[in-house]
Amino acid sequence: MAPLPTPQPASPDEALLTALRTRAPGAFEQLVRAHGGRLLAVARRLLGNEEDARDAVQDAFLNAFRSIDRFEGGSLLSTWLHRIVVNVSLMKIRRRKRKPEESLDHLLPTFRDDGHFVDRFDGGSEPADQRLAREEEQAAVRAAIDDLPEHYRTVLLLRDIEGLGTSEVAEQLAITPNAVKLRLHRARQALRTLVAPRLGRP
Amino acid sequence: MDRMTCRACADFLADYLNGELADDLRISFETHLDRCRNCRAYLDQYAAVIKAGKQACKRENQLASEAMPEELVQAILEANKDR
Repeated sequence: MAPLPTPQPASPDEALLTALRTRAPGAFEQLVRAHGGRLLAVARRLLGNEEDARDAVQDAFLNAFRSIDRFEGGSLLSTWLHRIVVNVSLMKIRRRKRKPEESLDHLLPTFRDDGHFVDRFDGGSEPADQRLAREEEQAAVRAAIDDLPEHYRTVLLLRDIEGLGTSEVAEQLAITPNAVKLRLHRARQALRTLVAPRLGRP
Repeated sequence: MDRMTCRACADFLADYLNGELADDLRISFETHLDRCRNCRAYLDQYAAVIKAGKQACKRENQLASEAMPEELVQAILEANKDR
């Protein structure tokens, strides 16, 4: 038998949304306090510096407040705000002086002529998943994301961390969906190489 | 017969994990994985690193959501007043 759908609780956003739409005193402040920190984390990751991240969060809230009447309530308020701060952050990245694309070829796996990996990966006694379940190891992976070249880091963050789809990322970055897939795969491979010392050999 | 090389296997990792490999390719991929311990280990590490990154960022979100800088709140409220 198919499981019954879980009943959805009434959205906790509804009261706040009504207050925002009627410009009720304190509603905007409530929105900023409830969602600001989370949005700041997103902007910090994408922009990599505190000043730009704070600017992006401020712009995102002002945009949101201005267009609150267009929010249809089909998604969560948090999802909608997340989308706005991602857009604002990407706009800031686009406005920055364009950096030449850095190569990460040196972080990709290498192969012998017969198609086998040069390196061996099956050295550790503990499975990779278990090894990286520890908080300090996860923090090291997080730090390594910041070491990826920007073109790759942005795609990895948008796809794997912020949960955007391939076509959406392609549109945002004005590249093809295939280019998004390729960059994501290369970024993940490079990230694996950067944290390889924590995974056992090599 | 295992016709897939480790190099090809590495190229298909993301599509495989996303469930996007066509059936014939997926079967070749899985046949190769069954026989190649090194590729299995590489796949496990690749997947574990993504998962660890997600978990670290989730924690980062939680910490940040409890620590919105007061001066930023005030700056945003002030900017909104000016509009």
